[in-house]
Amino acid sequence: MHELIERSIRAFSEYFQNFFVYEENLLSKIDPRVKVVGFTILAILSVSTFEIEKILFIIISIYLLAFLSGISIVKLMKRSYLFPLFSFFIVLPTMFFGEPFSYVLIFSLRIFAAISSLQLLIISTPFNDVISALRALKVPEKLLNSLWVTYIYSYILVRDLLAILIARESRRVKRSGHIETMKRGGEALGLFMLRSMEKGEKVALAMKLRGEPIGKVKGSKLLIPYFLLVVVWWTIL
Amino acid sequence: MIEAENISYTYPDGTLGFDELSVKIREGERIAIIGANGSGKSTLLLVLSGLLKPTTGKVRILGVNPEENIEEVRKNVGFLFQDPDIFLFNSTVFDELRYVPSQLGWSEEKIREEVSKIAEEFKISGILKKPPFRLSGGEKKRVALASILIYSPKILFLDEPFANVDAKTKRKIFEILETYDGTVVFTSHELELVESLADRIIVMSLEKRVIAETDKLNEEILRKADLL
Repeated sequence: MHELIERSIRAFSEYFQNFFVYEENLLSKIDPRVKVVGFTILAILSVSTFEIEKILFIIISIYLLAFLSGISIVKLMKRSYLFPLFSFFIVLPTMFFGEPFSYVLIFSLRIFAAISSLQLLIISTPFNDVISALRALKVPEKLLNSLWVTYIYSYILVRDLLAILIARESRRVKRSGHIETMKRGGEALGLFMLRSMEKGEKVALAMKLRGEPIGKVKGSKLLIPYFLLVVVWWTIL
Repeated sequence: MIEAENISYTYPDGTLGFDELSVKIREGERIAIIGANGSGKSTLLLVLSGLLKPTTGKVRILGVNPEENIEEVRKNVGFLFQDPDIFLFNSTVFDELRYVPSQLGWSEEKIREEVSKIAEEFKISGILKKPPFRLSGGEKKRVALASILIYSPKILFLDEPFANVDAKTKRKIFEILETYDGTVVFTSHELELVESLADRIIVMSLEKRVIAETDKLNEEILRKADLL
């Protein structure tokens, strides 16, 4: 069981390493602004309906578009399956509260459609071009900075997690018991958290050094649109 | 001792780790792998030690396929990572040193004896109760190396053992590797140390290929490897 957990963590970190990889294909030639708007609409459409026909139509459209652009369908699926899988297991308990299985399935398919749509954008557009396109579409600079920093450091932290797992493996000379492995796993996770926090502190210091007003954000003008965005998003969901 | 046939490695994101190569390392040999940053040295070390599965080809360590019997391989192999921070995950230096010996079933008495001996040798006796992540860079490196050498593995893999340490620690590491009674495979940018320590030097290029196997470096090889 614990080997399965460890393998899953490793697969998870490898999945995230792949998550933002871009490759040249037919879709790459399209203006990133058009792609950002188009794929965002597709993602919003997929999570704003519970009608299976519409969701299936969106999924088929996305994968047909991928196929016609020369993107491997298997690759796109591999890069999109994890979040819907998680959501499936998270929503599954709703069956105990009277929801039918079709609800769980449709919920996961919505996520699958939305993630596939965003993946199609990421696979065909370098992430810095996505940011530039969002900038051209007048998305506030603060949000873009947050998005960019989140992108970079998620990648770095996941890479660290994989390195910690490999290093741990190098020192495991004997199959240990379940409890021992859980204990060691906990320690490795603790180390990962510590490293993440230390890295966060260093990044904040470096940003401060370069003029970013960290810790000095007062009643930002962004708060109201952000609040509205969250309310609208939840209403759609 | 280590046989790798037509191995290559490609990362999950499609980046080439290193291109197809074959290596044979005999018992007791000291092998250095050199090359510019990004030439694939560290990845090659991870694959040769059985920690990463090659994308193509096969690796045998001490006659064993790591995929079939990883425990047998691990008992006999020690790996020092370039960044000791990812390697040291126990709550104290003492726990770090006893980590592998306790898995090997050593008695508490023997563990304490060996820990005390190696701590003395690496000048880390005063920090045994400290958490490793609070140590200086040089101390971390010494603790990491001591926690490998304590169980005397037959093969040592060292990724940049001389990087980020002071001159004294560098000398100490050099002396240990020079007299180590086992096979040593290491990567380094310290060309002088490499030449005086290694029996054979594997040179990698930025195209992630082996461009030379030699016991003496010269200008032509270094230029080809983008090291000059």
